Amino acid sequence: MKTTLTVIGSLLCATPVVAADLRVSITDTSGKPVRDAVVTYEPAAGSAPVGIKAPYVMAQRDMNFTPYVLVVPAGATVSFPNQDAVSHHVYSFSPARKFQLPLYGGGLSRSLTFPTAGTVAIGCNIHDSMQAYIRVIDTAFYAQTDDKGVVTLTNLPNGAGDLVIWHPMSSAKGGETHLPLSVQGPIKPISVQLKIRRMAHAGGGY
Amino acid sequence: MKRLLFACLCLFPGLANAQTTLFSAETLKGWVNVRAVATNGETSWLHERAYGKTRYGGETKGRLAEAALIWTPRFSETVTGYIQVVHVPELGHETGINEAYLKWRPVPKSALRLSARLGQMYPPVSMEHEGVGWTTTHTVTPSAINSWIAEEVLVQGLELSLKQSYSQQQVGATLGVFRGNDTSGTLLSYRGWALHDIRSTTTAKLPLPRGNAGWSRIFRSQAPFTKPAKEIDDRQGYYARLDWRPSVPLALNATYYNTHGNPTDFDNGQYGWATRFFNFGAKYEPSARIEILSQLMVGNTKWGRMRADGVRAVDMDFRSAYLMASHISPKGRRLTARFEHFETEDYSNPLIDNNNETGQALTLAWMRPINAHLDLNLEWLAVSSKRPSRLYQGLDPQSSQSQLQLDLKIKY
Repeated sequence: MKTTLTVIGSLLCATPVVAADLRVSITDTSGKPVRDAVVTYEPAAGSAPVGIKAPYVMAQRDMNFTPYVLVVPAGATVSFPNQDAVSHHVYSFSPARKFQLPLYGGGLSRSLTFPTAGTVAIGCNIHDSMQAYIRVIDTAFYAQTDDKGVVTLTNLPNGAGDLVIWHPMSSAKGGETHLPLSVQGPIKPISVQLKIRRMAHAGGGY
Repeated sequence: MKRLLFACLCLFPGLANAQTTLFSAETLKGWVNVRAVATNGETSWLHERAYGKTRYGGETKGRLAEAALIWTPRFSETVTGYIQVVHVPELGHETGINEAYLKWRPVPKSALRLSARLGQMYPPVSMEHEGVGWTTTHTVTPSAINSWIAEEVLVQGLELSLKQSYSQQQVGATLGVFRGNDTSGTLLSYRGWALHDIRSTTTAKLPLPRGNAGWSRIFRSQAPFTKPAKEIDDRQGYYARLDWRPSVPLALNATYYNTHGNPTDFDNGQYGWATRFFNFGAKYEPSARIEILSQLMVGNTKWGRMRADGVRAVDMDFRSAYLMASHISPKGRRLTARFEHFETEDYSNPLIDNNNETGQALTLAWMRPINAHLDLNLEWLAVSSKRPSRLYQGLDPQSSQSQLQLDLKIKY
C-alpha cells in the first residue's frame, strides 16, 4: 500500500507544471509553526502590479491593534478606525512611513497613504502595550502565514529573484531573511527556520 | 520647592489647546470594593494599635473595603492629569488623595521614549500594581514589600523616564527627586512588615502599635500615628531605576531609593527618618499565559542622634522577597500563588525597644472578571511571624493566622 502511494505521488510530481508554485514552511528554532510571517518573492525582472484587494484596515479594538500584521501594496490608503470607547493616538517613527494620527475617539477613523515599500511599526502614544505592523510590499507574489506557518506562492515566473521572509520578531536584520531563488519550472518546497524573539510584556503603567 | 514646581510646570508645553478634555466619560473612572472576610488570629494593626499583619484579624464579616474615583483630564495631546481620591474605612472614615500628578508623554520620533511625571505619586517599585489606578492585578493583597510601598512610600516630586528600544532589547532609566515621605520607615520599624491593600493618602494617619514597653514608652514625642507624606527636614529625596528587557521573555529592574532624610529632625509629633533601599525585580513569561514574578528588597531606616556606640535611637535593616507564579486563562481568569519571606534586624537597643522580626506568608488568589463593570476575586492568605515586641502587649511573640476574602469590585 505504502509503495502504491509513493508511486502515485511520483506520478503527480512528474506531471508537467505550467507555472511554478512555491510552498514555504516557516518554523521557529523549536520547530513550532510561525504565524504572521510575510513571504514575498521579488523577480529580478520586476513584478506585475500587486493584487491585494482594498479596503486596507488597521482597527483599534479592545486596546489592541487588529490585525497584528497588515500587508498592503505600496501606495495603498489604510484606514485606522477606533472601535474602542477610549481615544487613541497612533504613530510610527519607522523610516518607511513616519506619521502620527493625533488623538481621536471611539467611533472615529483616520486614513493614511503608504507610498514606500518597507515595514512600518505602529504604536499608540497613550497605550504602550498596543503594537502592530504594516508591511508595505511592491510585488505581486506574497503570502502571509496563519497558525500552520505554511504558505504557497503561486505562478512564480521563470528567472532569478529574491525570496524574502519577514516577521516582526525575527532576529534577522530588519526582520528579513533573504533567499536567492532561481525559478526554472517546478520548485521544491522550502522549509525556513526563523529565530523569533519573544520579549516580556512591558510592565509599569507609570 | 514652589519655584521648582513652577519651573517644572513651564516645561510642559501647550497646557491648553484644542485637545483639552476635562470632563467626559473617558476622564472619569471609579470603583467600589465590597468584601466578605473570614479571619483568625490577632487583631489587625489597623485596629486598637495592634500588631496583626493582615488587614483583617479575628473577625468574620462583610464590609466596604474601598471606594475610589479617578479623574484624568487631558490638557493637550501629550499632557494629562491624574488625580485619585480614595476612601478607606479603616483610615478614620477619611477620604484623601492617593496619587495626583501631571504626566507628559511626547510622541516618540525615534526608538527613544520619554515621559515625565510631576506631583504626588508612587515611585516605580511595585511589579504587582499594574491595574487601573495603581491597583493589584494578580492578588487582592500585595506582597509585604508592595504593601509597605503603598502605605509608607508616597512622594511628591518630579520623575523623568527614558526608554530606548534596540532591535534585540529595550533599556530604560528613571530618575526622581521628591519632597515629603520623611517619616517613611516609622511603621516598618514599630509595627514591622504587613500584608494589606491599604493605599496611603496625603492626609493619612496610620496607627502605630502601642505597648507597656518599647518605643511607645521611650519616644513619647512620637504621635500614636505616622503621616507618610509629611515633609520634615526640607531636604530632597531621590530615586533611580534601571530596566532591561532582553530578546527573551524576561524583564529585569533595579531601583535605589533614598529619602535623604535628616535623622535628627522632628516636627509636630513626627520624626525625620533616613530611609534607603534597593529593590530588584524580575518577571519571566515562560508562555503567553504564565508569569513568574519576583522582587527582593533590602534597606535600612534610622532616626536619632548618633550615640557614643555609633548607633542612633532606631537603626534597622529590613529585607523581604517574594516569588509568584500566575496563570491567566483565555477568558482572563487568573490563578496566582505567592510565597514570601520578610525580616527586620534592629541594631539600636533591642533590650528596651525590640524591632526585630522574621516571617513568611503564602497567598493563593483567583481573580475573575465577570464583565466590564464587575470583578470577583477570592483570596486566601496565611502569614506566620515572630516579633518579640508582641510581648509588650502581653502576646506570644510567635503568631500565625489566615485570612479568606471574597471581594467584589464594582467599577465604572
